[in-house]
Amino acid sequence: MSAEAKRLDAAVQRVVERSKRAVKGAQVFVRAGVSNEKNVRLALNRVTTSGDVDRETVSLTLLLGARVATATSSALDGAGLDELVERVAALVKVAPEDPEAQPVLASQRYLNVPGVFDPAVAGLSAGQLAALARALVEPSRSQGLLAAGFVHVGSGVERLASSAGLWAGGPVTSLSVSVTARTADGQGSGREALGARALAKVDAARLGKLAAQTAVASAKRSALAPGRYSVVLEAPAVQSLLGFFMGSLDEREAEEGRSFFSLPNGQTKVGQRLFGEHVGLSVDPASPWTPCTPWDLEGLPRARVDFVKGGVLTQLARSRFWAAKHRRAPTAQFDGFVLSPGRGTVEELIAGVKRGVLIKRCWYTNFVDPKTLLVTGLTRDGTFVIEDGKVAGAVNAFRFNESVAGLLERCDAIAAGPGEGDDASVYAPALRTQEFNLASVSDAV
Amino acid sequence: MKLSRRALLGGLATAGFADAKGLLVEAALSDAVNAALDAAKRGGAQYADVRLHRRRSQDVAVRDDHVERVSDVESYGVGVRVLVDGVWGFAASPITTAAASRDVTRRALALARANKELSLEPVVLSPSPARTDVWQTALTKDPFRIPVEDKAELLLELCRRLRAVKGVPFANAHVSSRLEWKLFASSEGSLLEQRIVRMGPGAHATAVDPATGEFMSRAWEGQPRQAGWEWLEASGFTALDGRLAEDAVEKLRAPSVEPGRKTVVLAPTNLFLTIHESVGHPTELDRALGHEANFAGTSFATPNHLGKLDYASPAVTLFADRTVPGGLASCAYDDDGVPTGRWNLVEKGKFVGYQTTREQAGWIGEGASRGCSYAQDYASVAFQRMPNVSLAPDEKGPSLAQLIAETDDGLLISGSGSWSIDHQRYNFQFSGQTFHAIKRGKLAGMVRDVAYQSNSLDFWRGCERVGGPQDFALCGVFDDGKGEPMQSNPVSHACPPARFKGVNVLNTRGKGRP
Repeated sequence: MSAEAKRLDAAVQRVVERSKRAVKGAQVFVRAGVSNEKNVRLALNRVTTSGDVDRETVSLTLLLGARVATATSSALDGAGLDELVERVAALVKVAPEDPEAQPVLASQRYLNVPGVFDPAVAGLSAGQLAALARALVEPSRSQGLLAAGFVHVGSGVERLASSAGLWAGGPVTSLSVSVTARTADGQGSGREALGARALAKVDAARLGKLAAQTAVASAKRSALAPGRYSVVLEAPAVQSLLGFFMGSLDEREAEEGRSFFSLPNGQTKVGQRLFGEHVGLSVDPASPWTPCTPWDLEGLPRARVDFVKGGVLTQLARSRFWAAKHRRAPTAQFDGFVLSPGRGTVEELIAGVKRGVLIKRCWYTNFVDPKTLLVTGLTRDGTFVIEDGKVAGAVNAFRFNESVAGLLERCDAIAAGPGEGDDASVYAPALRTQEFNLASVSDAV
Repeated sequence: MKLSRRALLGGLATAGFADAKGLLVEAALSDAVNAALDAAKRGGAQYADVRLHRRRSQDVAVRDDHVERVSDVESYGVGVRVLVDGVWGFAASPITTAAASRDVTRRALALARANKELSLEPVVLSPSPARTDVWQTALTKDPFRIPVEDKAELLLELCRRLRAVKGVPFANAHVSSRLEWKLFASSEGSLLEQRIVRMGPGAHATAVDPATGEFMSRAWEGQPRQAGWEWLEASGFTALDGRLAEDAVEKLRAPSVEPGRKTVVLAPTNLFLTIHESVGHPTELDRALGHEANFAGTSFATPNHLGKLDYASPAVTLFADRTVPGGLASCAYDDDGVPTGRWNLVEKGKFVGYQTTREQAGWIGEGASRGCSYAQDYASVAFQRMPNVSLAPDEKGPSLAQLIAETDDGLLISGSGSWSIDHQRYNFQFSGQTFHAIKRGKLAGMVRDVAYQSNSLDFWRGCERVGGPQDFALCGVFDDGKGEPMQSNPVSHACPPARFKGVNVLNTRGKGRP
């Protein structure tokens, strides 16, 4: 165990013990972490800023009867911890009762997910980060393009504990690299990004090269009118859009009648076939694509959950309160998701389009209507027209207004991969869908 | 540098805030600052600054009939920024001892040196005289001293009022109180202490029709502000009644809008966010020059357009101001230690100004920074962030009621809804909270399913009437994101209501093509 982990554990134990003494009869929950993050930021082929940052957080929740209070501090020293306990102890005594408060968890069993920590990432030096940054920039610089990018590495230890015996946590690493290459005249742009837990997954030079290729390929654009098109959404675009679907899966909202998944009179769409048989959406901490900590923010064990299987909505996400109220099992708060891979390559998806649009990436997506899962956003960093099954050239960017449920309903093919993108906790390969509503032209490049 | 009580009191006397007792006089902090600046100097830094930065955020939230959350989050630490051979390095720690400060400074120096090879041009800072001062938000009631139980009871009462309306089973309300305290010291001799308090109340009512499975939410249109609790008491929040919930029911039952090109009258609670996205962000100089290309994007307002581009109709003057009382981005000094001020970005329709920091001023030939540097917390490096950006009222312009009265056929949009804009700030789409048809100078009933879509330049050039000072209002957002790692910046926008012609109004439920 590292010295940092020992220091963290000592702090957590101190907070639990002192809290029990400070407020007799209170249940105690502590979530704490220590981490170091390093980053290098790039623009115009050069470094702009960099950082080497230590963070410490300890969050204490006390539950006294139905009264709950939480406070968080960045002070892990003894005096800071004691002050935190005093603060929450004072708060919980005056906090109004919360009838939905749930008891703190006792000891839990968790999956073993070794993929959340990579010592090679934890050991990255400032010089190695600079080397990654150089690799991102070099393909652009050598071709007279302008690259902007970002390298970010995080390494730390987290711990969850409760007065009922919960003791979870461990070391975690993360690494993300991204690069945007733009032509010097500002007419072409390409971006590549990868979030990962392990250093071996990151090939910065390849990402830099791919971004530069897209920038060059997108520099000469033709005008394409707005309309409903067959589209192939590459993995980053799929990921940003499906996030709205996954974020709307709350069972309580659905049963209260305020969700896309609601039916009249408190019923929901669970059990209904919403999409084609090839559409599956799941969460899985042990997936090799999306390893994440096997505990959620309350310490509940994460496990594989299939929300959509064979196109059927099989279940919704259930909080501990809603589960207890209805005597059902809760689902842990999930981190990321997986769109089940299909067959073939992105090129094969494109080959099935007579006339349509290839969208590399989405930008500034936002809900317009949660009832229909209507989302707006824009295409960015490469929008191409497809003719007779081939990419025929770059076109202008678009604003779209499209229901995420609708695009999945009309999805007729999903690629086998790749499905990685900015977020290491999401895996979603490219997909093809029909009648995608490209509502207006954007002049942005 | 010696951080003496005399220095503190001198600052106090200048600022006139007798209550601004900070932590400058604590010997441990003096040691931490001096240790960092000494280590930077010995390590070869041509410039260094140290920021001791505390943030506290207290949130009380209620849902329907019970308290959902009482939380109190605090962070505190030291961030050191060094410039070595024209290259920045930054490091930070939550430990603020002298030894930790020295270690942080050593790591910042190492980063700057490691990245030397990636630096093509040295950073050059525009001049800014050294200053010693203390500044704080003017307030009479510190929101952190208002008992949590009083806040919770207020919010529960508001939810009771909202849920008393038939057809509105759900309501929530919250109040967030935020404190930012920072001590800035630079190798050039500046020593600045600032304490900023911000408040953010909010409430929603949700109407549901169980028979159809339809629902509609309506948010209170009050705005966050730099202020004490006394502002909240006077803001109308505490007096919130069932009308908000009645709006939700009316909105649920309202006819769907007929899409098409329309004249729109935008209330300040809607227009402020359009200003934020279509004027605030495009006039950030770092964005215009490509520094945000990998994340937030670039801008159509590039320096070759400065002084030439017809950004808006001649009725429009948009200005930046970090001094306006109550503004979320208002303060006396930015995080470069530069005094804040007010200047025009768009003057009588012409694009005339940028937001800059000390590093950026020279990029466009200006001699001094506009004071737009900001870091969200101790662990974040300071960079260019948006000041309060506002639309100047027409001193002889109409009130909102008059603006409606002089509109023959249009749509009044109020409050914030969905928002989105492209990465060069051309194509935007916004929604709102309420939408009322205007017919022959009168409000002619609520409609629903509205969004408006335009191009920033077309939109502002189509501004045919700017309201007067009668309904000039300060609105804002608590958390504007930019940068990598992303940082959050609180920022306000003041504006009167205004009228825009030929705006593309969409029906978001599919009537026409949304």
